[in-house]
Amino acid sequence: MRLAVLASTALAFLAFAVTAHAADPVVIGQVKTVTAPTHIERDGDSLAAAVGSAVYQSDVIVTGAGGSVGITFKDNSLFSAGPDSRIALEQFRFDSSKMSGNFLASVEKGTLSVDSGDIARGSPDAMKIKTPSAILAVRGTAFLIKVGEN
Amino acid sequence: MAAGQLLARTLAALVILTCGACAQRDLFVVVPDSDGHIGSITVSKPDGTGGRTLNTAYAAASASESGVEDTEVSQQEVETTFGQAIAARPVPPRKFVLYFLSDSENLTPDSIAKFEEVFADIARRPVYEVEVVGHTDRAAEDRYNDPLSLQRAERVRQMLVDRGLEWDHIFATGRGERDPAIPTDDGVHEPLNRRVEVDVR
Repeated sequence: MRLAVLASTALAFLAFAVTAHAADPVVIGQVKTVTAPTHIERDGDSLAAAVGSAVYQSDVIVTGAGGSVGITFKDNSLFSAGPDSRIALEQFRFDSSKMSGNFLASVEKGTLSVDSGDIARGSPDAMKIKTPSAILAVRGTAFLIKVGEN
Repeated sequence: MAAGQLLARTLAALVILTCGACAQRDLFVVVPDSDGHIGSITVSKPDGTGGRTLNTAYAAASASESGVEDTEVSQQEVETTFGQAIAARPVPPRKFVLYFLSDSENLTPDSIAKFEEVFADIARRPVYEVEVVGHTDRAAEDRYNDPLSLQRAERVRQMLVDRGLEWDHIFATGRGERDPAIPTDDGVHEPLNRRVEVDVR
């Protein structure tokens, strides 16, 4: 009996926690520049990106032939991708009062220009970018990545 | 015999084609940021080993299955390869600081002039987000300074809205005396701590 109550309380709590999480996604950045075709893949949908579009953790940014996109994140880092690119924003957490957090992105294909922000001023492990052949640790700089160069 | 040669050549061609198509080679180049500053990136194999650190302008590395090696790229190659990505860069974020008169939510005369610069910077952006964070000096108690810091931030937000900027793109918060620009003892008046920091992106 007591166990059942406990179990149902735990379930209710879990349901609440999951709902609360789903209902309150944290905006991590904003699209500032865009040339079509550019899409944001989110929860199985593919949404056309527009200037002003919000960007969330776990979004995948996709540009097609001739497409490009520029995004400014909450920690003031800047990403801009050239045509035929695919970039997964795997993890982004930033505490603006402590000016620290962590940022993990994966460039699956294409070109990306990065200007790092407040997160990359912290520990060398705070901002990382993966490509198919490498992983980068970023310390306060601008840099360029091209994936799949022959 | 001839058929064997043909087969060998075809196979050789296939091998070259296949490797050409499957060779994964990623390129990394450090460039100066919008302020001309250069930091560093460390490029490692996916398992984190074999890292090379790049910390000068246009230093480059390439990574493939065999590991990470230094390489060279000309500025011309950078422009050809990354031109469209670079052209899509957002306007860089900017930070401003505005100062207040003692125990007041009114800006100092210098900061009234500076406010025009803040407004102009925001207004030139196609889309913007502005964070206004208010602060006080340590001349009074927290229960007084917390609301004062927020009132300062709200005042600057209202000034921006009065000039036609959008209310819901501007966020105001107050941090009381907790984050002084100049650390002082409690109870000390310090003009440089009576401020709002405006983060424009």
